[in-house]
Amino acid sequence: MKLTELCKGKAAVVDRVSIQAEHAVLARRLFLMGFRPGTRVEMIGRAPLGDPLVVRVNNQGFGLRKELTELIEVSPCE
Amino acid sequence: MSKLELLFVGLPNVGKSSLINSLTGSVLKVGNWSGTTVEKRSLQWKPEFTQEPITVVDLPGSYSLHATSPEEEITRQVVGESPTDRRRLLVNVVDSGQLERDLYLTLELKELGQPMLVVLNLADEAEKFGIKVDAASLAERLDLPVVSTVGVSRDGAAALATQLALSLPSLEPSPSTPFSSEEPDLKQLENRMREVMELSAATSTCSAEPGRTKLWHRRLDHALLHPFLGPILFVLAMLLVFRFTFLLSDPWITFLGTVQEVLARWVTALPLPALVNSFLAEGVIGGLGTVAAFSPVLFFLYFGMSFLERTGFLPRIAVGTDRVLRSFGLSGRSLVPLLLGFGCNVPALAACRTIDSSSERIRAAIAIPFMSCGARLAVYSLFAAIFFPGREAWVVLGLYLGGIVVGLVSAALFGKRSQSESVHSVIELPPFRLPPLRILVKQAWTRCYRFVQGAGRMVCLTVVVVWAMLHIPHGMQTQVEQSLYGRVSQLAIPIFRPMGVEDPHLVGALIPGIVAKEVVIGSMATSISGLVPLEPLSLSDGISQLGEAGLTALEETGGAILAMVSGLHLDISPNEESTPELMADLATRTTAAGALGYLVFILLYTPCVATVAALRDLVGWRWAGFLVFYQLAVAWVFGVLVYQIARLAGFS
Repeated sequence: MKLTELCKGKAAVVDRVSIQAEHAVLARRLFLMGFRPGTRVEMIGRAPLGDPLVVRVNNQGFGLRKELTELIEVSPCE
Repeated sequence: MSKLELLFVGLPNVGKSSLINSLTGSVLKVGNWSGTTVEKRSLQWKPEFTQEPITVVDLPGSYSLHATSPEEEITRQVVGESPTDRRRLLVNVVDSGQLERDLYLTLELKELGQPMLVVLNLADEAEKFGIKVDAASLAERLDLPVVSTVGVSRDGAAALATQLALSLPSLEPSPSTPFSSEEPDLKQLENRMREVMELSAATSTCSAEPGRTKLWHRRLDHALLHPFLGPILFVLAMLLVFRFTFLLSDPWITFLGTVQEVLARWVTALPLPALVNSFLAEGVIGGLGTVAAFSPVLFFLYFGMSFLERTGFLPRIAVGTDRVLRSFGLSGRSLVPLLLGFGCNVPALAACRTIDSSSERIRAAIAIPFMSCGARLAVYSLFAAIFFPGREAWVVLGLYLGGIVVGLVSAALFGKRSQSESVHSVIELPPFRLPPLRILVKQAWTRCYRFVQGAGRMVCLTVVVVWAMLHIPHGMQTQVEQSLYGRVSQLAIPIFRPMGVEDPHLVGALIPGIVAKEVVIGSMATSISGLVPLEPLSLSDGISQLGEAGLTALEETGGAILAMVSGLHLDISPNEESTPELMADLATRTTAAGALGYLVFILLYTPCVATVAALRDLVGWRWAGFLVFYQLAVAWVFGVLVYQIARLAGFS
């Protein structure tokens, strides 16, 4: 499923970050921030208007715009 | 002997600037906000352990040496150069709680082969989250010296100082191994990341039990993101900051006014020609007094904003408002500059430097001058009290909201929206931190001082020019209409007739209003009553007056603190300058509708010379020049519109 669909309070493991080749810089930055296959992400919630989404990776919070969370595939943890 | 240089490198918001402040005792601007340092900054440090001065360089936070943003590009260039005339030491600052994230850069830096030392910062915070790092083991694995520090506390950097005393004397200039400028692909990233994960797993332990701190942070995050509670908390926080600012600064503005008056009257008592006396008392001391009147508001506003910034509140607010601001071509990043604009436009424009997209920066620069600054409030409160008794708060609120709407719509109208700004669509949310009072005060003071230094000269100069306009031709001081100032005002009247303002005193006050909105009411009073010669004052009387004023200010500050605790209510009574005589006189000079038109013009037209200077520095002369004309045009159009509508609605 997409990271966007993850429910509040739930955790998931990143499967794939599908960013087009022309945005290599963005892909690298996300990778270094911790959005890479195998890392655990936790959905903290959404901003009052539903966008951006707030997630936590390795104890660090991030606000990600929806257009980005659409590109991150995750598998929810039980 | 070649120069010694310390380069502080690390990820965003790991406390590089705080650590430098703690180490050297100087004040660099610090925030709990990624990207506080957007340019390379350096300072000279003379430590106790060596006779040589050391250049300490603070570099913008970077995730890696392969740049993904303009600030990272700066870091990459500085770190990559191989100077032979300097001995340099890389100080890699690492967040102890984020080894997995931070050690990637450490490994990249190590490959440069330059003398280097690793600082495990924020050790106390990591411990609260249940994370412990074994510094000795990390040092062994990296084969580099490693020290633990707590950047914000007074002697948290002691370990670093000790290590520097050991490392620096033996330092040699060493060339940098050039790193491949080729961008690494994800495969290479993954390989190095595997190394980082192993290193991090081997040197840090994390207790499985989430500590109380962790839980508390989570609850706060949830509350701030709550669809109803979030916006309420945000509005409440901003109201508190502004209330705090205006309540606490008011007694000190009055006090500085008394100081100015006493000084001016002392000067008048000097045996000098009348014109020289007047120049010194009204031109020079008047100018300095205008600058001084800025500083209490700025100090308390900076203090309040620093508090919100350093606790980690602001990035959350940025996330919360990102969606709304995006409709106007802005983003959450522009929020802080826009908010600062309500205090003073000048620091607000300076804060725009942290916006990394140039088109967004221009849009923020267009919007900020329409954010109604504290100085404009003085004019609103006086006119609202005269023409709309009992409904002052609504008039003032309407003006503020009007400014916000005009500003945001103007921002949306100009500048192309580019699509490729997605790198900036990630906002880092730092942990909540409680900043020490000592640092907040120091920082507010430094920022305030820099403003007075920067804009002060321009304001002073223009006060002197206005003084000169009032005194040409010489000998007409009691009839302002006859002076150059009065004649210019007369000439401008036809322009303002469509907005219901035909009085030369009101129109005239708009000219010094371009210098600073603070002087608008004072200029009106002067031009109505004519220049009243100042009464000379004896030294002893002056001293006793100053003492009394100081005590009153202290007493009122105490009262203000109590009032702030006891309840929220918007107090907008006009200040000392507006005597009952002035209020009665102004009431006859225009209608209620005309007053509204006038206030709208005051809200929207060119804020002040200091703002124009800040605009020029930010977006260049062409944009700044265009914006001045744009603001004048917008102000005129809306002034006329509001007057005509108000007149039809029956406000006369």
